[in-house]
Amino acid sequence: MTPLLEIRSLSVDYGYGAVIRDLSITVSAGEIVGLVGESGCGKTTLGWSVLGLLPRSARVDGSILFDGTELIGLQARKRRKLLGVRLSLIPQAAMASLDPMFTVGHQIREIILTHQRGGRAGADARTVGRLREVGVAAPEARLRAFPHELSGGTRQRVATAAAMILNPSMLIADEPTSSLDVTIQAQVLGVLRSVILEHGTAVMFITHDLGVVAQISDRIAVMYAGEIVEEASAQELFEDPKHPYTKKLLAAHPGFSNKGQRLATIPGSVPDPAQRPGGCSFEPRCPVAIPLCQEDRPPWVAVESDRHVRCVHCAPNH
Amino acid sequence: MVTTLVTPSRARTIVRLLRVTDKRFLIGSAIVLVMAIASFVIPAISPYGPNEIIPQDALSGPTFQHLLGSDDLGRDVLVRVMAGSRISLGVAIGSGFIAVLLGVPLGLIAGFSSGVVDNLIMRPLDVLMAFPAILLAVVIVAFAGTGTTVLIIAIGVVYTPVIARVMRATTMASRTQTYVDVARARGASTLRILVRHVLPNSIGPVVVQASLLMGFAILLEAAFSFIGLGVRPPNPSLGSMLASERDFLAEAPWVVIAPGVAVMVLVLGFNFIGDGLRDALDPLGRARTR
Repeated sequence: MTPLLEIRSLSVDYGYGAVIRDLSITVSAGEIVGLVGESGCGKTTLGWSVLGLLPRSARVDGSILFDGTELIGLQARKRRKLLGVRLSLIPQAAMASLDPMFTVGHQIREIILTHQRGGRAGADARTVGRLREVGVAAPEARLRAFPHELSGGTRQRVATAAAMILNPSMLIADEPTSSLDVTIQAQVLGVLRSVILEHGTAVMFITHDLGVVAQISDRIAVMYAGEIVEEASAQELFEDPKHPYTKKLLAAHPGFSNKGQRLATIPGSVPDPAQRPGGCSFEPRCPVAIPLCQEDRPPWVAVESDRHVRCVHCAPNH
Repeated sequence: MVTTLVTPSRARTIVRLLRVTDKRFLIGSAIVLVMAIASFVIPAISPYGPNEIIPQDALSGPTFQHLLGSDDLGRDVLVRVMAGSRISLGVAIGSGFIAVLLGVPLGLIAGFSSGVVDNLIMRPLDVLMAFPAILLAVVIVAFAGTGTTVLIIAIGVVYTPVIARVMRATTMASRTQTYVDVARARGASTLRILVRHVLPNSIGPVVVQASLLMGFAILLEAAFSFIGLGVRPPNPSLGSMLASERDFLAEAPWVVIAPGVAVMVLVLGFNFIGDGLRDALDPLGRARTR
């Protein structure tokens, strides 16, 4: 299958060291790829570089192909035609992502009328349909509601509806459920999953929550310090993690294997992009580090046909 | 959640503007509205014209013929005060309009673009602001000549930097909001983002500032007419009435008190509107000191 989104050796630098370093990942049409990692590992930067929202000061190298179009250095005019229409964003904080000055109906209508000709009534009808689809109660009445009049869950649903309104073929979902409490999170996630599956939308699902990616993703990429350290199908990753960081991350997650015990932690923190270790980024925190790890960046090892790990321990000649 | 604490109160600025129930705002609006209506109605129904000279009534005190008395030439003070108020209101609204019309786009562009463009716009405005308002207006009047229209433009230009600075500050705050990035992620152009998202979210404090400036504009117009650079005699203006009648203060105080009170009431009205709006729009509901 030809990938819908193909990121090849992407590097992003804000001027104090690479925030994303030589990162490659592909997303096929209709595929849901979870991108997991700690805070500060470059997840959001990755999503934003796909959307072209990075500040002008950021230096971006590499290639991001979306359906055959190179997104890096794409003309603003051409990018605008793509964004919202074929490539859209479900933002992190739904409240902040909605303009407080305008009603829900107005904001979604704006998106439609930015890209397509048509009347207000038609746009509103589409909005109501989409709001109903994402499980907003009484969608006709909600059109006239201001964002602050909605509950957190409803806001996130509205933000989802806004992202999906023009049936994009790909979504960047940047922590779409992280600001919600757990019960609402599960509901919104369920709705999101069913809408995505129904429309066959490809999703890059960015989150720090392993539980969330487990529920929604086909494939998972684990990010650490601006690199992908392991990539596997969701099932394989949880059953048989290869990279020491993935193992640690799973061990640190409550509820997988450690009921009644103290939660495991990973000592230390994600390295500052300015002081990245020369070899493996995870080496300073790694329990199984060997001297070689300090010297060379570990290779991107294909463990199985569709499984990759960036660790010397998985290299065949090790 | 932090966002819910801050945003809803800031939220519906426009809706709030229309529904402000702040007492001072209501009183201020009532004052300005009553003065505006009176300034049209009273000269129209009065038997005297504003420049009509009735020598035998000269310096008559308040009577039934002349409710606020008459001046040294026997002109009816009430009619003249009202005609003068009409000019004052026109100058206030006209110059406020010009200041907003010039200041809002300048501040919006400066605050949104920052860097070189910001400096290109704001530094000249800072220079403009460094001069006292009245001095700057005098210079403009000196070049363009006296008259109401010139005065409106001069005061409007003088207050443009004030509006532009407020607009710039609020724009800088709202352009970093997530909904601006999200709008971009949905394919909105910069112009669209400016007009549809940043402007509506930033305009509230400008409205407050503009209504306060209109009060100052009335004072400035009175000052200019007082020194003879605004409305020229015999046409009535609150400032020129104060100037020409001040010699009669001892014998006929009403000829000076009436226009003085009118200036005060108008300025008070605009300041109440401004203060009321400011408090009503304050997210924390407390009065800010300027």
